[in-house]
Amino acid sequence: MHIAVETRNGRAHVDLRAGLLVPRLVTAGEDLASVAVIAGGALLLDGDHVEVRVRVASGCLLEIEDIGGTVAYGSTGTPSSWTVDIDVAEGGCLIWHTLPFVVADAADVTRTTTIRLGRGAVALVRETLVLGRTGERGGRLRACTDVTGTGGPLLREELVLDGAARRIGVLGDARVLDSAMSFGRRRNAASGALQLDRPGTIVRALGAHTHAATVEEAWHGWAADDLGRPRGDALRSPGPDGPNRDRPGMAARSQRGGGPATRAS
Amino acid sequence: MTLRLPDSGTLALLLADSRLPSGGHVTSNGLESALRAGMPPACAREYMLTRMETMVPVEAGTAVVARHALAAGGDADSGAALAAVDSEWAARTPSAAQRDIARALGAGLARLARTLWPRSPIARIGAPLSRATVIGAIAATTGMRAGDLVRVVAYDDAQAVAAALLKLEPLDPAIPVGWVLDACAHLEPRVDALAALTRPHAIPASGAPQIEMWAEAHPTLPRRLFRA
Repeated sequence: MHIAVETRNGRAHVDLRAGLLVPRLVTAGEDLASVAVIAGGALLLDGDHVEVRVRVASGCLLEIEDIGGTVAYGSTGTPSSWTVDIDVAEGGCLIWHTLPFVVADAADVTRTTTIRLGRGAVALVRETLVLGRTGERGGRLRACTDVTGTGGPLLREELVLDGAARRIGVLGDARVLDSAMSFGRRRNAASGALQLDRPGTIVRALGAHTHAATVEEAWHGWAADDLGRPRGDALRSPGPDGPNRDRPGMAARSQRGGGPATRAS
Repeated sequence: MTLRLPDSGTLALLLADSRLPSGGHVTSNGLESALRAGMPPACAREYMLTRMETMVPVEAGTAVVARHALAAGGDADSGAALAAVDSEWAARTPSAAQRDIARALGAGLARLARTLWPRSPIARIGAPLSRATVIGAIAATTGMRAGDLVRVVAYDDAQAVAAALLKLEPLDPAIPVGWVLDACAHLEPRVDALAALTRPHAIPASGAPQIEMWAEAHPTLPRRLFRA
């Protein structure tokens, strides 16, 4: 699947190409687009390789919403993969509302998320990893996240999880690891949040069930903040209280309020 | 003053010695917060093994690559080379609490290095660097072998947990010593590969979310014995 948004002649131009996942345009505006993603068939089967490319051009905002979570099934032991490659250019913003990624018994999956951020760009990504369906222990998951900004690396992380071999210190007894991840913009968050060395914040919850181990509150606060923020704000001012916040034209843009939010809060 | 360059093995003993005045005693390597979060003391062995699979490869890989960067480059760009390695370490250490303690320990070790090896590039670098980067720079200065460097980082990691355990929970002191040996043996199959690393991007990035969450909770614990 390929999703790209850029502005052409004052309108957002959205390029959508289907793969094992299928993107559908929900709304498009001057410099923003909202896209829903559905599975083109049963996912993720043994040996499936899902590849997703997301491109957000300079100053654009792209909001992606998954419709339906993903279960990685395992039966033959053939590894499967889920590879996401994201570019957000200067001053652009990506908000991706994901749903749980469940690793069923005997599944062997590698998830790779690569994000490159231009100057002042922001990527807001949710990741809810679940070991096993109800009553299962869960299979094997290797989750790699690699995020680079113009100044250098923001996050490089490899999580090796195995439902049949839970480790103290990795997930402990937990089945669910829910993460709200903001790259390119540091968030005020309660103590316990991971404040990265470069601008970025990760809030995590560990637990037995998705309804108990959730970062929903932080996630919605961050997404609402980004949707209400004028695009390119990070380029023009140092923060929400910067001097350019009140510049003519900027206020009108920000009054689009929640933008094309499709997720009920 | 001439460079003080004993054998690599002697340097490894020096750097692993808890009597070395570099401040390593202030950390329990997260054990204190793990126990306060409810981890049973008997699980400290498994805790050490988890660290050998996750944080130790990051620390040891960083040290080896820092050593290589100094050994390969000239003196002129040594500061930039170490900063680049340290920035890769920081990206692999998402917990600010863990970065803070690692930089405090790095500063203690750098202070010692400035006195012992004043001609070393590490003596001229003012920026705060992580313990892993500093110990790698010391290895470059002293000609310490990369394999010894990996083993020192691993041994120190487990031994800090063992020493902290004895202060936090009463038990036969010989028991955690055995766990330290188990933990070091657990890493041994990976030592050669870690010692052969040269590129910053190739440093392992293995994370341990629960340890990171415990680390962030540690500064808020009342009546704590250790700084981290």
